[in-house]
Amino acid sequence: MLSVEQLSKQIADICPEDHLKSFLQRDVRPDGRSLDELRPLVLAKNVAPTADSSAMIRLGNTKVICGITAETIKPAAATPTDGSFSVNFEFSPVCSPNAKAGPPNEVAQTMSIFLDGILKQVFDNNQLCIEPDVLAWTLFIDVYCLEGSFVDFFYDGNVTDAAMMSVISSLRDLKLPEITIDEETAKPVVNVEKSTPVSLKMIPVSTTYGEFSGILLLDPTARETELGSSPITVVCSEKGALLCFNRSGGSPLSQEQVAAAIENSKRRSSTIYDQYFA
Amino acid sequence: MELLSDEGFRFDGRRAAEFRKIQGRLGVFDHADGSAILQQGNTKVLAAVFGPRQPMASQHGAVSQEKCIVDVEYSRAAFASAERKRRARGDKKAQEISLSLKKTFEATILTTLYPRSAISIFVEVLQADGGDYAVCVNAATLALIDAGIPIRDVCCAVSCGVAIKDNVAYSLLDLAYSEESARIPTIVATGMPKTGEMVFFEVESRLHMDYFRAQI
Repeated sequence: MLSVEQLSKQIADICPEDHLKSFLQRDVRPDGRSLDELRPLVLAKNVAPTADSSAMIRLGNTKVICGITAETIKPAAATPTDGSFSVNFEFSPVCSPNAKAGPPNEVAQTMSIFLDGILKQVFDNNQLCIEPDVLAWTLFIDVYCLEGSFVDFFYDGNVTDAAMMSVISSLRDLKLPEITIDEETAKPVVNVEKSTPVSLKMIPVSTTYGEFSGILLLDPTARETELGSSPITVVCSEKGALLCFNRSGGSPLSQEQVAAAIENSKRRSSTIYDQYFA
Repeated sequence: MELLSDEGFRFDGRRAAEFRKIQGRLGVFDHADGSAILQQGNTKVLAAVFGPRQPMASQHGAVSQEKCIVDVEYSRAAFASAERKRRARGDKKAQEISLSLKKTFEATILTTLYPRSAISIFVEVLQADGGDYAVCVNAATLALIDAGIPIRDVCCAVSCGVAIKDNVAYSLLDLAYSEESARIPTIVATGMPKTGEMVFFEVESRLHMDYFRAQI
């Protein structure tokens, strides 16, 4: 005799769309959440002491870890007063049974570009300059998805929001030691005793909605994203500035839905800011 | 840096044959059949096991009627070591380690119980402070146990260096990164405690045969 839970799982496997529809008709989702409820969010700092700063985000079952390493370089000739940063996102092999060796796949590369684009808006490279045209910092931001319900190369379980938050959290914790160029020897002198944190113009928070038959589901799980058409990602700052609205294809949205999604994201951004970054 | 002080202490206060602090947990991932996280001193490794399951299309050539395929993938976070090393996934060093791990576990898992299937083991090094190969083997063994996959015996690995002091050879067990960089002769050995068998053995420097026998 099957339990209700086992029966539900079997129905979810056989006819997944009907299964999800029957829950949405009652304004609830299969995991018991309401349509605009987040999964439990856990933020752990300094998880990788070998990196200069690091953070790990757990959003439900999705786990993303970010580590930032700072190194010094000579600034580019075109921008002598700027340092640089580069974001690299990868799906770790532990994340999926279908992992293959080789360069990051398209989904991972798209994510790197997305994170890079947001950071360009909120991070000023000027602050990374140590001595114009001589020395500057360069930040290597490495993000690894450790668990994200990776289903046949279509990532899920809302890796986007977790990744964005891990990067911002690591940046907030990053402290760069003071470096002065000795006038006589022209060599850099590092003063580890004195380090300053980097500053962000604003704190971006990413909010992703899955879309299923015209209904928006906040923080979609693997299955919800898979069954619906393309998800929507909105990135807002804590003060309500809209940084990014991303929707690639999928079924059409009404203007009210777009406006509601943005409003919701603004509210969520300030909540997350108050809770974790204030 | 002196490897072994006159009183018999190593740089971090351990004795010659003393291990670093070991912390581990099983079942850290929900989606994997078995998973474990293991930390020996400052070296932290995650391992996930998927299987037995149907082999992927790419593995069709290797499918065997008598036993299962063991597939291992080793990966290392760029921020894992003190110096950031960005290695493309699938570079030579990673492949070499993946291959040695694969051979180790092919010998450990009772592969004849699962013909025409595949077992995948994935290992991710989050922090590397010496002995990462050994910790990978240990973490993967824990993940296999968590997955409930039948194995011949628990597979344990340790890295061991030889410090020669006053013409006496001391074995330093469970090397840390600073000891590994001191370029002393190192042996990495993987063995099965109950049966006493050695599964994997690697020596990567010159070592006098007399000292070698003592290490074993």
